[in-house]
This record gives sequence, C-alpha cells and structure tokens, in this order.
Amino acid sequence: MHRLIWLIPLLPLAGAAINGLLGRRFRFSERLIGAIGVGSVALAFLLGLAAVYSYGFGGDPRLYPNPYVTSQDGAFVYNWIPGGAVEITQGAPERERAAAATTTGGTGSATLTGINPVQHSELRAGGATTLGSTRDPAGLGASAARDGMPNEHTGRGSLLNVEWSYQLDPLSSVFILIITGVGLCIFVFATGYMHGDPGFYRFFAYLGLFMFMMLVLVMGSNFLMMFVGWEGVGLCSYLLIGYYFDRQEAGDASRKAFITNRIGDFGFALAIAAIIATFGTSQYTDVTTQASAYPIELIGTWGIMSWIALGLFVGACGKSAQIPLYVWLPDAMAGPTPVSALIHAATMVTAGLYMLARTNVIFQHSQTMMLVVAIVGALTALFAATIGITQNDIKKVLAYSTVSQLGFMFLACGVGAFVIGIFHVMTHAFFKALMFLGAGSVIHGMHHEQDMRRMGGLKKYMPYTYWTFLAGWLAICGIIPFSGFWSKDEILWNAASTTYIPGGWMLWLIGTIAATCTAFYMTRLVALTFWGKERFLDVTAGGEADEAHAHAYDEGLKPHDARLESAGDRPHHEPGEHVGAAHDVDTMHGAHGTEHAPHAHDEHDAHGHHRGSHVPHESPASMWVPLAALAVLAIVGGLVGIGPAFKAITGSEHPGGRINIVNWLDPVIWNPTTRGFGKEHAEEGKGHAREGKGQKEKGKGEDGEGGALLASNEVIIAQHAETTPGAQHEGTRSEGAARSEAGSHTAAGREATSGATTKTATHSPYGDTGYNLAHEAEHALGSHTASEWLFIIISLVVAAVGILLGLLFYVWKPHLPGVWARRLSPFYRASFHKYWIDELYGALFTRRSMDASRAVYAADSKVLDGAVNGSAWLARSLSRLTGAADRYIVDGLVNTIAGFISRLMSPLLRAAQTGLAANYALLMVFGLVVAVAVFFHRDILSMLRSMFAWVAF
Amino acid sequence: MINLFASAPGLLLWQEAATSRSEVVWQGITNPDLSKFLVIGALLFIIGVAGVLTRRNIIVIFMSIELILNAANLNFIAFSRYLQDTGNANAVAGQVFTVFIIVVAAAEAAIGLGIVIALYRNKETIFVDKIDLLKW
Amino acid sequence: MKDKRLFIHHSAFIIHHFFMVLSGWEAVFFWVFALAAVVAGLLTIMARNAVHAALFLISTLVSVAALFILAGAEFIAGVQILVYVGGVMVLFLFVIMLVNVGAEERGGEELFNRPKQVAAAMVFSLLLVVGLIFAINQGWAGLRERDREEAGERLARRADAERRLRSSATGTMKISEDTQRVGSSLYRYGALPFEIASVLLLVAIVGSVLLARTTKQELAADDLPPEVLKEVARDEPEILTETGSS
Repeated sequence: MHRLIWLIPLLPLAGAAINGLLGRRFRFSERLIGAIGVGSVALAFLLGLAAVYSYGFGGDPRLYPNPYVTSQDGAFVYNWIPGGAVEITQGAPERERAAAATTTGGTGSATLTGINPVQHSELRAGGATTLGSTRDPAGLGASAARDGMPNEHTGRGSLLNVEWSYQLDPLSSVFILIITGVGLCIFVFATGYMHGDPGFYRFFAYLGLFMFMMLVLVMGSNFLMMFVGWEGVGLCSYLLIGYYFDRQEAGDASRKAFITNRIGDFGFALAIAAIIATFGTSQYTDVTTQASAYPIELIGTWGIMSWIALGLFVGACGKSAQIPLYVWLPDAMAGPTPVSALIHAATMVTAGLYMLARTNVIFQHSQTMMLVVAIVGALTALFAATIGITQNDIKKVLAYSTVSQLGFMFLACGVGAFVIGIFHVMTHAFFKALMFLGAGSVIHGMHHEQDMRRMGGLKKYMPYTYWTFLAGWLAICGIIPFSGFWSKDEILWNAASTTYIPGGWMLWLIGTIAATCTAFYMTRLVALTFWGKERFLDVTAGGEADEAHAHAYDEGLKPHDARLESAGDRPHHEPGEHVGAAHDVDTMHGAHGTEHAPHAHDEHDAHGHHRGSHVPHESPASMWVPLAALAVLAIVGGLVGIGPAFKAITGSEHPGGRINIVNWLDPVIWNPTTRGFGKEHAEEGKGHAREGKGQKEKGKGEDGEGGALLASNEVIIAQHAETTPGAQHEGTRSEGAARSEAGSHTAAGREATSGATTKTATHSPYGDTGYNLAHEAEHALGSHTASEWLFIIISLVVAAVGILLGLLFYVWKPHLPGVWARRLSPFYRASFHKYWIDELYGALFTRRSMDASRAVYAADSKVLDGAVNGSAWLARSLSRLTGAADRYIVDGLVNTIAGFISRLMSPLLRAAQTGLAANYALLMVFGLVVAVAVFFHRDILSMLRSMFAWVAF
Repeated sequence: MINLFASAPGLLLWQEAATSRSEVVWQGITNPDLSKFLVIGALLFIIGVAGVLTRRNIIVIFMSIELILNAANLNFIAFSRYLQDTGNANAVAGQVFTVFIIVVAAAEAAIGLGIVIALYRNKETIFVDKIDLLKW
Repeated sequence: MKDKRLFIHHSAFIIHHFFMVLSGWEAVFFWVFALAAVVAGLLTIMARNAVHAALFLISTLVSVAALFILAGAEFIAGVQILVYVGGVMVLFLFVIMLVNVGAEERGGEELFNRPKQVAAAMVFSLLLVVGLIFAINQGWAGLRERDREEAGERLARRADAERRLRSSATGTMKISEDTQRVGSSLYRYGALPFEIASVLLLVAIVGSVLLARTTKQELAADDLPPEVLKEVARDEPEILTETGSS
C-alpha cells in the first residue's frame, strides 16, 4: 500500500475539483457536496492508514527506518524541474573542515554513512563516480578526493534535478494521519456547520484544495515541493479566512494573514536557495545526509548552517504564528469555524513545526538558532497565554491559545526535543480541533454569538458539546492522563534538562508560567461558556462582530444580497430552514434586515430566533459525532507517547515499540552525539545490539526493537558497501567501524543517561551549557526517575493552580475578575488590547510603508515627471529656435530658387500632367514600343534601307 | 498574312522566294507551331493594352488587364510545351508559373474590384477620366 | 542571301518533323479557338454593355483554355476555367451589378477616352503588333535553327516515351502524366512561392472585405455600443444613411 501514497493528496484534490468546478454549474445538493468532500478525505485517511501500516509494520526491513520515496522504486515519479548541472557555491570551507575532522579524528565517520538512512541517494545522483566522490560526505569520499584530485574549493558541481515524488517516512506518516484523520472529523463537522450556506460547494472546494496542499507540504520529497505546499496552504488559508468576502474584517484578516505569511515565506525561499547552493540538491534524503557532515556551529560562530536555519526559522515563524509574525492568526478567526479548527489550529499552523523537524539536522548544527527557536517559542507561549486571559471572544481565546501552544512546540524543538514537539503537534491537533469545533458548535447553537460574556450555563442546553469540550479542556490544561499532559510535561521536562542550549531552566520557568496561564484562561473559557448563569437570557443578541457587521450593512457598504447570506461568522440560515425568495421577503421586512429576522423553521420551531430571545440548542449529529471522536482522541491520544518516568508501570522507557511516537519518529532525528540518525534507538539498543545482530531481522523481542533496528542498519551498511562499486574494499572496514562505534557511543549514552554523573554535558557536542535544572534536581534527589517525577508533579500542580484560580474567579467568586482587573488595571488593559502590538505594527510598518509609498509617489510625480517635462520643454524651445532658423534662412533660400525654376518650367510640366490614368498608361506603352524598337534597331534600319532602295528602283 | 515577316531580312527575300511562299504559308496554316501560339498571345496582349488605353469604364479596364495576364499565360504554356518537346527537364516550370499568375490575377481582381466599389461609393463614378485626383 | 533561301526550302521540308507542331484536326481547332480568342478579345474591349464585355472576356478565356489543351496543359486549362471563369468573372459580374453602368449602356456616356488618346493608343498598338510579330518570327527562326539538329532524335525519344504511357479506357488516347509533374514540381520547387501566394490570397480577401465595407458596416463591426451608434445617428446622420449599394 505504501506504493500508493501518491493517491493520498490526489483524492482530496479530486474532490475539490469536482466540487469547485462542477458544484455550482450543476447545482450539487449539499448532501452530494458533503459526500464528495468527506468521502475523498475518508478515502485518503484509510489509504494513509494502510500505507503507514505497510510502511512501518509490514515487516519489510528496507522500509521503516529509512524514508520511502516513491521515485526509488518507480511507484510515482515526475521529473518536475529537470535542472541540470549546477555549481555549488556555498559551504565549501565548512565541508572541507568537516572532512578533515572526520578523517583525522576518525570518530563517527563510518557510523555516519552507516546509520544514515539514505544511502541510495548517492546511487541515484547520476554521474555517480565523479560527483559521488566530491559529494560524499564521508571520510571515505573526502580522502579519495584528496588523494585523487586537487583540493578544489570552487567548481564543485551537482546535478540538480527536482522531482515530484512523495516521501513516506516516520515524520510524514505522522502528519499524514493527523491531517487526514483530524481533517476527516472537521469535514464531517463542516457539513453540519455550513448547512444552508450559499457557498457550500465553494467552501468544500477550498477545504479539499487545502487538504491537497497540506498533504503535498508534508509528503513532498524535497524542499521545493514543501514550498509549493507551503504557498498553497497559504493561498487556501487566504481564501478561507476571506470566505465571507462581503465582510470587511474577513477581507482585512485574509490580507493580513497573506501578507504576514509572505514575510516568512521570503525567509523560507532564501533558505531553500541557500540549501540548493550549499548541497546542490533539494531532496530531503540527500540534504540530510550531506548536512550531517558539517561541523556544529556553537554559539559565537555563525556559518552557512546558521544562515539556512535562520531563513527556515523565519518561514516557520510566519506559518506557525510565532513572535513577531503571530499577529495574523487571531485575526484569521474571521473565517468559518471549521476553517479555524482545521487550518488555524490543527494542521497548517503546524507546518512550521513540520519544517523544523524535517530540517532538524540543520537546526541542530546551529546552537545559536536552537537557542533562538527556544526563546521565541517560550516567549510566544507566555505572551499569547497572557493575552488569552482577557479576551472575550470565544474564538479569539482559542486563537491565542493556539499561538501559545505553538510556542510550546517551538520550545520543544529549540531544546532539542523535536520528537516531543511533533508529539505535541499531534495531541494539540486532537484537543484544539476538538475545542474549536466545540466552540463552533456553541456559536452555532447560540446563533452566531461569539462573546462569552453573553453565554453561560450552556451545559444544560448542549450536553454533548459540553462533555466533549471538558475533555479538551482537561487535555490542554495538562491533567493526567489526558493527551495534553503527556506532551506538555515532556516539553517542560526537556526544557529543564536540555543540553543543547544554555539557560534551559529559564525556558522551563517561562513555560511553566505559560502553562499556568493556559489552565487559567481555559478554565475561564469553560466557566464563562458552560457554567454559571444563563446570561444570554438577559442581554440582546449580537456579539461585537455581529454588531460591526450590522453597522456596516446599515451604512450600505455591502451589496444587498450580502446581508442575506452572512452574519456573525457564518450565514444565519438555520439548519432546515427554507432558503429562497420567501426568506428574502421576510428578511427585507425584518426590522434590522440582517439579524434573526423572523422566518419559517422546520425543525427549530421550538427555538425562538428572534432578536434578544434566542435559546441555544444542541447541534445536530453531524456536528457532535466528530466532537465525540476527537474527544476520545484527546483523552487517550497522549498514551502513544508515555514518557520514561512511567517506566515502573509500563516496563519500558518508551513502551509500545513502534507504536510509541518517540520510537517511531526517532530515525528522523539527527543525533549530534553520534552524528547519526536516531538517538533513542542507539541508547535503548545498548546491550541488545549484539543480540539483535545475531538474530538479524528476526530480532523482534519485546525490547529488541532498537537492537533489531541497529542490526538492520548494520545489515544495510553491509549491503550498501557491497552494492556501491567504488566502496567494496571499504565494506568490511566500515561495518567493523560501525559496530565498534555503536559500542562506544552506546557506552557514552549509558553514561549520559545513567544519572550517576552530574555533568554529562561534557559529552555533549554543544559543550557545557551551564546550569541545568534537571541535572541539579537529579543530583539532589539522587535518582533520574525521581527528578522526572518531580517535574511531573510540578506541572500537575501548576495546572491545578491555574484551574483552581479559574474556578475561584469565574465560578465561586464571580465578582473577583472585575476587582482584580481594576487592581491590575495597567496589566489588564495591556493584555486586553493585546499589548497594542497591532497598533505598534500599524505605526511602525503599515503607516511607514504607506508614507514611503506616498514619498515615492511624490518623488515620481515631482522629480521624474518634472525631469521629463523639463526636457520636453527644453526640446520644445530648441525646436522653436531651429524652426525659426529653418523657416527664415533655409526656406527662404529654397523658395527663392524653387520659385525661379518653377516659374520657368511649370507651364511645360503642367501640360504633361493630365491626371488621367490612361495617359500615363499610354506613356508606358510608348516606352514599350521604344524598347522593342531599340531591341530591333538593326533590323529596322536594314529594312528601312531596303525600302528606300526599292523606292529608288 | 501571318507569315508576312517570316523571312526576316525583308521584302527583297520575300519577292525572291515568291514561288514557294504560298506553300510556306499554307504549311504554316495547316501545321501551326510555337510561333503561332506566340502570335496569338501577342495579339491578345495588344488587345488588352488597347483596352486599357482606350476604355473609360474601369471595370472593362480590369477585364483588359485580365486579358493581358492571360496572354502571358498563353506564352508560358506554349514555351513550356515546346521545351518539354525538346526534352528540357524543367519545362513544367512554365505551367507552375502559370498557376501563380492565375493566383495573383485572382487576388488582383479581388482587391481591384474592392477598390472599384469603394471608389464608386465615394465618387459615384466608374469612369477613369472622372477620377483625376493625380492632377490636383 | 543564299542560305536564307536554303533555309526556307529546308524549313518547308522539315516542318512536319519539328517540335510542337499541330496537324490535322488539332490545327483546325487551333485556328478556330485562336480566332475566337482574338475576336472575343476585341469585342470585349469594344462592347458597350459591361455585362457583354464580361461575357466576351469569358469567351476569350475559354478559348485560351482550349489553346492550353492543345498545348498539352490540361491542368492549367482546368484551372483557367475554374478560377477565371468560375471565380473571377463571376466577381466581375457581381461588381458590374453593384455599380451603376446604366448611363454607359444607354449611350449617355462616351465609351472611349478622348479622341487624341484613342488615336495615340491605336498608333502605339499597331506599332506594337508589328514589332511583336516581327520579334516572334525573328526569335522563332533562331530557335528553329538552334534546335533543328537534334530534333529527329529527341522527337523519336519523346514518341517512345509517349508510347509507354498508359492508354485511356477508349484506347484512343494516352493518359498524360503532365499534371502529375506540375503537381510535384509545384510542391517541391515552388513550395515557398506557394505559401507566399496563399498569404497573398488571404491578404486580398481581408483587404477586399475591408475595402468594400460601408461606413455603417464599419461602425457595426467595430463593436460600437448601440448608444454610440445612436449618438452618431443624431449628430451625423449622413454617415449611416450613406451606403454603397443604393
């Protein structure tokens, strides 16, 4: 089935094409559109499941730890950009230094080629012998290059050939399942939520297109494909945020998102260019292989890897809404709620995380950039969480929560725990999609009310939504054993114990505070929405947003039909209501014209939809069933990543073999200590290595996964050595080296993780990173597990504190928020106004750029046009001058002579000119006669002579 | 009559050969050859020229031009045939040329008649001596 | 002078054995069609009625086509009739119907140019007749002189080649391969002129269409909106009323 992965993105695209191209023309019913959309995504999901199963659990040793690219066995390949030879201009000195280091130092060079999962890349590169020798990152190749040919820094070439092929590896398979699985739930939800929308087909076409683009993003086998998907999801995000294009704020928000993302994309594009200039290829497999050979750039050095990482990080900041480019995400909530759930919470915004994990080799080569990633992530987590506390729009709260959680993910990546970052992506996708959809259900049930101050007590009216929402709430707060706990706790633990960057304890502190805030504002959200007094009975309907729209409509800024189609964040046609002419009449008769005009209801007759008297109702099954599915995932989804602290219960640090996401993702992650891929396997496989090697592929014991893996790696080394023509004599040596290297670095790993030594950082390639909170705790408690438990308890306590504070403020003592808001007025106002960041950007960038445009316009109109006009004036005066000279001097002369001649000749010539065409033709014939006469003049003359002679006789 | 100038140098020779002259003429009539074709072509050509020179009606002038072109065609065909008989490999080129002349004549007629119509619409006349804009 | 006499005698003797000589019924038809062509040509330029002139021209063209057949160019003869008689002359007739030639027919207008012009034209034409016939005879004599030697051999070879041609169904005629040769020569050596000729025809079509349009048609063809047409009709009504076919 893994050979069929190219179908996975194609299915949603086909669905989108059918819906988008045919839906309007043939007036597809909503049922049909929904069936096409949901069906295509469901098929893609099933196909993804089957593909991942056959890839990871099919028993084929060639597959799992190695990435599977569809071009390698011809399952799907298209020569997208047949580029040809390119010169590699960047990174030569670093590469030479690295080669020198690996050959002279002799550490890890064989392991490098051995554990590297992409050995086929060299074979596929074409021109294998010449290019292979210069591109071979191993000491082998470098030494050969040194011996064989002069050491060239320039003129190194590569065959750049960008193919369109899909890659299935642990990372992309996780994302495929998240995207299609969560996407399926959201599609189903959307069929209920968007019911009655005139743009139903359009919505599902956009959503399907988005699925396609997102799948291309995560399944592409090279950076250019990722870029295509990257821009594609940006486009779809733009289209879907601006889905209600008749609303000013939706249009503004979509433009804001698009432009903000462009800033990030610029960095990403630069990084891709740098990658191609450095490695001569854009294929992930080749890039990761080659990047492994570069030296690690510690803080204080800044080389090509740091540059690339910087560009990539700017791109990730834009897409994943990190400081300073996060501003678009909260505004993006102007789109329909399923879009917020799918794009702006579960999938697209995690594309930055995907990129970070995909290029973890490059990031891990730059300690500076790791630090930057971690700091930005932590600050974003805290910053957004504090804003989230004071927001009143239910979707805005969730939006800031998303930004905050993305910050947590970045923090995880920055401290080197890429696997945990992706783990959090997964759990976050579950619970955040759940909460967004729950919010959508609430909004739907409240008739487009988004202001939490006008909700309350919805528990009674919307039981399914309430109970599922509770699961998401507990998950995001980090309560054991809900999914959010496992990932967030791991992030905080990794922040505290990181040896990648200095200052981990500060990041841990920030993260912990952010986690407290998260628990607080989420409790606030739940309390305001589902518990307490039913405030919607007191206040009239219409949230801030709705009032704004109504105002805009009243001012006549919108076309008339726009009024009928949307209000709030979605059309105000209710499920089952008749949409047609009668409704139009009703609406026009309605007092306000936009809001809840009295109209006929089929199934909601029980609810008065009149202004000020609406009563919430539970959403239909198409909406709460996906909620239930996501709730189950939000509860148990974290169990795939149970941490090592629970070893006593589960019997293993990472139980479950490949089912455990940590083990599953491990082959993707580069290990700076061993300079190979897969840290956990190397560590866990210690002691099992021999056994695994003895059993070859049969070693599938309960704990033997890692060992088997290592063994299979070694087998692949041997195979590689045999199949590579130029390296046959190196085969045995590299295998031996690999084995000994495995032994040595597992020894180092044992040392590092045993907890007996205090300063394991001495073994870290990142040098001494200073004070390490986790290690201190470990030292104090005397046990590694105990320290882990300490941090678990801390995170549980802060979550509980946050929840209790929330309960205190919003359930037990509802007057407290007002009191404290007054007491902490500056902070409250800062948070409520989102720290005035939008205003700051407006003043700093938007206005400045407009000023700049005005200045440019002024310069253009004054200077350039002035120059043009001036030169024109100059030319005109000059021509006037010469004209005068011409007229009086030259013309005078000419006229004198011409007048003289014409007086003489004109009577003659005038007579010849009759103006009759026949006369002129006659002259032509005369010429012809003359020509004949001239031609035969001799004969004519002789004839004349003889005639005269005859006459003379 | 046709062979009036058959013996090129002139009337002297004609008188000398008087005995066989009628024979020669008769043979020329009973066995027309290339020269007869050329003579017919020349006559048609001159008729065309005379038409162009004398007629006022622009349409008839166009017809005369067609006549001239056809005379040229006749010459081409006759020479083509003659050269074919002498075994010239490229003799058929004359016929090919004729095809092109016909094409050009058709194009010329189309354009010319278009001009005639435009002219008639603007000047209300088809007589060339009424159209003397050349002498302003 | 002696050689000239010999020449005449000799030519009279060999005249049956020279290239491209018609004899028998062919000679009769040649004279019939030649005379028809010349006479019809004369009538063409002398006819009072333009329609008659066109019909006479058609006669001339058909006669010339018959001469083509006698010269062995059957394909060109067909083209002549199809294109000239079927196409060009019909076009002429249409144009004659479009323009007003009534005055000339009724005798209200002079047929010919002013007398001086006609007289000069006649003089020149006669001079041309004399000159051309003289030139033709001169040239023909030289040509015959040049080709006389090899005539017998070439004619024999040609007769041999003609004998090998396939017979027609009635058995009285041979199927000529002339047209084949024209075709292959046209597309092999004349491919570029052929393409140019096609472009010429296209240009002629477009040009004649443009030339023949009325102001009204031009306005309509330029996709003018009806309001503009109305404006034009209000401001300059003469533009729209002016047509070429009235």
